[in-house]
Amino acid sequence: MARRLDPQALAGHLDRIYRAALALCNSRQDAEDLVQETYAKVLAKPRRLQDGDELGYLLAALRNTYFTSRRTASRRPRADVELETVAAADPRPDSQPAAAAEVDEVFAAIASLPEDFRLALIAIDIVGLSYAEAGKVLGVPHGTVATRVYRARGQVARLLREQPAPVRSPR
Amino acid sequence: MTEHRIPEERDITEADQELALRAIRSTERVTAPAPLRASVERMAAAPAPRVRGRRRPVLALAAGGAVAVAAVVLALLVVGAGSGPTVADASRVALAPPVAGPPTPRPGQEVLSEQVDGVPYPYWEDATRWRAVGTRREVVEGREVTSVVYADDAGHRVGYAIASGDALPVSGGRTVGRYRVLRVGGADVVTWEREGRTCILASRDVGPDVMLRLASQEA
Repeated sequence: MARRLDPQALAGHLDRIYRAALALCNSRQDAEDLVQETYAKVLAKPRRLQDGDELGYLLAALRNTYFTSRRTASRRPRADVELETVAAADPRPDSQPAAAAEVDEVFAAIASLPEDFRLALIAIDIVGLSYAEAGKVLGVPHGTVATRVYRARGQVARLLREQPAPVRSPR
Repeated sequence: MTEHRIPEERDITEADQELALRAIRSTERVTAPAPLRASVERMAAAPAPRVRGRRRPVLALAAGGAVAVAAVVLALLVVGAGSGPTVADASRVALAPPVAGPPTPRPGQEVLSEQVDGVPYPYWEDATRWRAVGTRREVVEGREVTSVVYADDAGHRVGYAIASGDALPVSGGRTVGRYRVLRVGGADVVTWEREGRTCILASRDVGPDVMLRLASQEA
């Protein structure tokens, strides 16, 4: 049964959607802009949810906004801010530079995946959808999602093994 | 990092899966920045705005017939005959989040492709690090107001609105040179005229000093 999208529930998914945006863009500034634009579009008017929940709806909106903004961005000059300091930019006092470097490598590895594999991994491992929900969002059978996630994880593992160990700061 | 060939299933081990999952779980410590969170919470708390502006007549035309057409024309005439918005009314468009992508810079010029009545929006990125991140259009009391939202590296945002037609009335505030500085709904607003059009800079993230510096970038 269709129901109205709950704005508060949408806002409650912000952290997961932000991490999904980081994995898509590999740029903190672009991820913030993407999330801002996605929420602005979704919340611009009352919407009804046919099935699934707010999280799947948000991920679909994020993906669509990403593809639209990427087409626009390809037509304008810009200097990308690479995701070198996601956690270093985090003002929380418990930020750890070494952990931040590891997180940056993970997002960079995911962002380097081919699109279909990246979206499947983001839907399952970053956002936390079920295979069935991810299949609906991505428009593919859930078995295809499972295969893509399995192979995407394999590639992420290989990329991370190729990375040199991060320099750990004395504490 | 460049795109790599994805390994086949037979070449992937359980150890690969475990390593990837552990690494991906480590990203759960990353949370949205505070300004982004505040912005999303503001949007979620506000009631969804009614569809306004040019879309309404279009929808009415599609749904109705001659009666609907007549009603829309009458409604537009009535709206057009009103007293029009003030700077405070139009500044709400500058403070609202963008709903479309940013305009592109015009090659060789310090302006963007977006303009209102021939008055272009400035390109600030090289000189000030403030870059256009989105646009928004609304009709406020019969007048089209277009806003380009700019952001700096820290995520602060400033909306730059230009109202079509004659200059809008402004009341209150203080005068700084050719600019008028006022407060609207807890936000700082700087307004002035360019070629007879009302320009408005508005922000909840930065004060009028920053906006005055930005406004003064223009020739």
